Amino acid sequence: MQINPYLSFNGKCEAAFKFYEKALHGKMIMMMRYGESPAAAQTSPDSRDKIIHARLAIGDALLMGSDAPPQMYEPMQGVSVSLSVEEPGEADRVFAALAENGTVRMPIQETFWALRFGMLTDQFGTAWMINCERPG
Amino acid sequence: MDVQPYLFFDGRCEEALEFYKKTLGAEVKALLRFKDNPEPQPGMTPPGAENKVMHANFRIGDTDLLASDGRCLGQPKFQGFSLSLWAKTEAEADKKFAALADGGQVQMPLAKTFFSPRFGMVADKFGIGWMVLVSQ
Repeated sequence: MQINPYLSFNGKCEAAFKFYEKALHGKMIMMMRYGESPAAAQTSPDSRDKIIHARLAIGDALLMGSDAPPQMYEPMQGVSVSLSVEEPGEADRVFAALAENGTVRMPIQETFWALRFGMLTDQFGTAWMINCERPG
Repeated sequence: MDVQPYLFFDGRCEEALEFYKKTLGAEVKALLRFKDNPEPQPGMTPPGAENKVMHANFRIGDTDLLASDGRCLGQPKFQGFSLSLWAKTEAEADKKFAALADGGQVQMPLAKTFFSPRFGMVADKFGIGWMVLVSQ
């Protein structure tokens, strides 16, 4: 049994997942549009190029997402996506990459549990925590 | 790099951990309370929240998840994301879905779809949306 975060976007899923692929050195596995899916007939013409399912592999983990139907979209709340990074330099790189045009909520720094820890909300509204724990 | 959902239960974290132990066989690996924070910050939590959970790490199946009581105001709100739960068998999907629906709300009953022999959506009693499906 595995559990993955599934993120909801307001029409910007494709742009967000391409941004995450680059920032996190991930690999896009799937980017299916409403218009290409069996749901095409029930989709309004202006939503057919929106994403019904996106899937990005990051190491062994999966991040999934889609564009919500416009009237059902709600901004992300109550959760952050936590990234555990092994190297402090890589944690700094990932933090800076995700923070581009976003909002830093806690600059990446040393804490009592981590060599590097920081929090941000990216330009697409996804909240992230970047954590590089102390060895041992 | 590992990718994990970090969930903010706003004061109901221990209740949630008990619920996921019962429903999903969760195992709590680490739990730190605000009173045990080696670097307490005044105003971070309301008075009386000393025993609330600053940070918890729990395992469900093959996935580690993270949680906190956050600001401890007693009103958890989860929106703009879901957790996708991959069951190995249809029977496991049925069992987990029913358990998560206890006290919650079924949004889409489990059924066969074009991408999975079993797929359903349910918001649990804390408001977290789950997408339960069977790996193909």
